[in-house]
Amino acid sequence: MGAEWAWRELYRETAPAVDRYLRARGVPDADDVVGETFVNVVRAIDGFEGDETAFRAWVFAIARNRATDEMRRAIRHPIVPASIEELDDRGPRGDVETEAMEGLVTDRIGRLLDRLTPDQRDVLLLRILGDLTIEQVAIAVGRKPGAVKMLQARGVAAIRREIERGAVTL
Amino acid sequence: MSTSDVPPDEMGWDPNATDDALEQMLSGQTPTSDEWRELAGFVQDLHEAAPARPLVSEDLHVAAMVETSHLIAENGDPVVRPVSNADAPAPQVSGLPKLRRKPMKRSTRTLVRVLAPIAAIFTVMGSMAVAGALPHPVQKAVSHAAGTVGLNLPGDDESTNVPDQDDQGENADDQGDNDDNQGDSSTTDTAITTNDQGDQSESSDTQTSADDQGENDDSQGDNNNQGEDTQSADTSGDTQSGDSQGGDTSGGGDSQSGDTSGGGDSQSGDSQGGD
Repeated sequence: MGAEWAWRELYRETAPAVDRYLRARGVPDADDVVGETFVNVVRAIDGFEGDETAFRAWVFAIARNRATDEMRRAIRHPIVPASIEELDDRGPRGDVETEAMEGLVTDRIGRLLDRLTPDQRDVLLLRILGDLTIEQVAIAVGRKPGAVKMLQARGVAAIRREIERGAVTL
Repeated sequence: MSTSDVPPDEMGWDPNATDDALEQMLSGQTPTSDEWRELAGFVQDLHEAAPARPLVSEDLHVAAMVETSHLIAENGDPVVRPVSNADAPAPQVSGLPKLRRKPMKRSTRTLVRVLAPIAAIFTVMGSMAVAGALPHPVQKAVSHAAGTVGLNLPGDDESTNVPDQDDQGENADDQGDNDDNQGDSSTTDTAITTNDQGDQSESSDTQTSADDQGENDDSQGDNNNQGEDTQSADTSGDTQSGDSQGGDTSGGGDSQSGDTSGGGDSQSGDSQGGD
């Protein structure tokens, strides 16, 4: 049985990147999915073999599967948006300008990512936000490194094409 | 996937060059060529869209991880095992759990489920076979099978044939007694011989000879033969000899008394000759 400090160390090392990856994928309630991901890590860690590099890729593989499950669940049970009265009752939400800018960037990035296939999007998000190497991404998505490299190149080409076309301005 | 799968509008993008450029951006370097300016902008915006944030649920998540590891350890499985036990087994912080369940494998459970009824059936059948309470053909087969391995169980053949054999044995014994009695006491009372004949009368064959003896006292010598063999053929022979002896008794009753074992018989033969 691992000590609490050991689990916390693993969590702090990996969880922030997992959280960013999940949010960029548009997973609703990404915080809960992060928690479920690491609980699954504890459950399955007995069967894990490999070094630290492989462990990080393995954690992202679990997070990716959990994200897919959560997205499917969200489609089956869509969340009803809160009413204006309910939002007013919750009080102020912070800096409106900052939130607006963040919203714009998020919207732009969202539109760019929508142009990609799911595999291309996953590869780019894992490479950029997860800070994984090609080999680690290959483990996380269950593909060969050559195929991952090709998906990455095609994804970047698609993004460049969209930007040049003026569909999305950066 | 090969480069031939890349659409024409995406051709010209070298995967290795793209990966190198992306690697530079991820490591914080500025792309040297304007060719990658769009990609650099995309990476920057992506970081801004999903910034790193403090995980407010860290304590909650770590507590869930620890709780899960406790639950797994209580089930008897260590959560973390050493990669290799080549040097030494890793020391366990909390030691082994007190109650360690070792569930039976599925194959073993199935085997027990199959073998337990078979063993019970064999036990019951074996007990009934020893007691001889099995049905006729089953008992016969079981007895035969047990006999091949050296076990003596009551079989159907033995149970039906043994009384006959015993009777025959008794007859033989009785016959032997007759022989002995007749041989030992050739001059004893007629009553002894009569009793022996009575024993012989247990079988139907000997009754015939007894009748013959009643009709003709001289046939007692033949009766000795009957004692040795209770065949009815001998009895018919005795009757004939009795008749002939009846004729002979007028001339030589003494010789009969001397030859035959029964002295009393010769007296009756003599009386018949007198008649």
